[in-house]
Amino acid sequence: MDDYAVLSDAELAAVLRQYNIPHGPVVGSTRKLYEKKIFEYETQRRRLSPPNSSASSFSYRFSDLDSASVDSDMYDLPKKEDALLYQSKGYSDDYYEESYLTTRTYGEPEPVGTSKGFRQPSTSLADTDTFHHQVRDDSFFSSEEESKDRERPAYGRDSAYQNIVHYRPVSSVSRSSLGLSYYPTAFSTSPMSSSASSPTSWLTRRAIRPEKQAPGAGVGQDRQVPLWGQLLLFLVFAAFLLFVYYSMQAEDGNPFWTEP
Amino acid sequence: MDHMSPRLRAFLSEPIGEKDVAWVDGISRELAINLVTKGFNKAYILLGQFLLMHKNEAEFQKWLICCCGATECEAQESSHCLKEWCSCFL
Repeated sequence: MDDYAVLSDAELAAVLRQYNIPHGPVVGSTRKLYEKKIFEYETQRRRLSPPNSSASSFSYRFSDLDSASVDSDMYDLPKKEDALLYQSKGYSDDYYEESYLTTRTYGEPEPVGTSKGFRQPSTSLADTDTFHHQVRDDSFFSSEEESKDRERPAYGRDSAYQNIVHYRPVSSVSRSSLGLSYYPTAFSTSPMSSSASSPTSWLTRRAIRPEKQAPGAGVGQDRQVPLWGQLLLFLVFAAFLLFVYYSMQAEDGNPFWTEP
Repeated sequence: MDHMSPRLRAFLSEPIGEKDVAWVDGISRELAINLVTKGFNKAYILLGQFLLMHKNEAEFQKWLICCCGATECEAQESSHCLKEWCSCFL
């Protein structure tokens, strides 16, 4: 992840173009996003074909010399390169698209709720965890965690990201390959860990926005019976049980009939 | 046209001017504070960031979630708001 910090803006744009990632200008505000994108792409590729990673980095160095000079044409070039690269990297494009399909599933309610130091046996997840530690280094980490955790029940299957119109390669294959999505969802939900650590700030966050009823209603609609209804039913049931219990208690009087 | 929230309607009804970034639909108070600390204190700066990403809603949402700590809902609403503004005025 730090490797990309040493690249200049132009070099970063060249890498983005080489990996066929649609992007805008690389400026201060967008740099972090594009570094993250490149890292995700390389991690994805490393996961699929380990021997290729060295070759890809080597080819990056090779192409950097000539692609850096045409940085000004970056708005036109991606379209031509799309056609060229698609034929050569059609295989990896499917998986690349799949990674973008699933890495957005922040709301996947996978039972991976572990702490910050979450480590799976597979080594491929290890570097993504460290990446998330490094990326989320700033103060937005806690707010991002709790915000993602809040959206968890509402966005169970976030298929909204399937509208990746700028990824022209085969989309049907990637959609069918959602079975592979366990890794990326675990990868993307690992930062959602330690959700129980700060529930109070989440509650205050909800309170600040009283006019936004949509998230609350969205969460509430997941239930068949509304929350207040459930509590009411519970109280009625508890009252019923208490009534039965007290009515079954023996009277203090003589259990035998006192015949006059 | 589908139902617009009052904030969105207010945002679209007049020029963006010198409005604070909290005026953008979908930006909660916490998110607004985050954005201001990052330097996005005015709505037009956020608009500028949206334009930098080629008016791509998905990209903008990703950036907002990743770099500013927004929720998905906030990102969707604000990107929709800015997209609507661009379609009306740009």
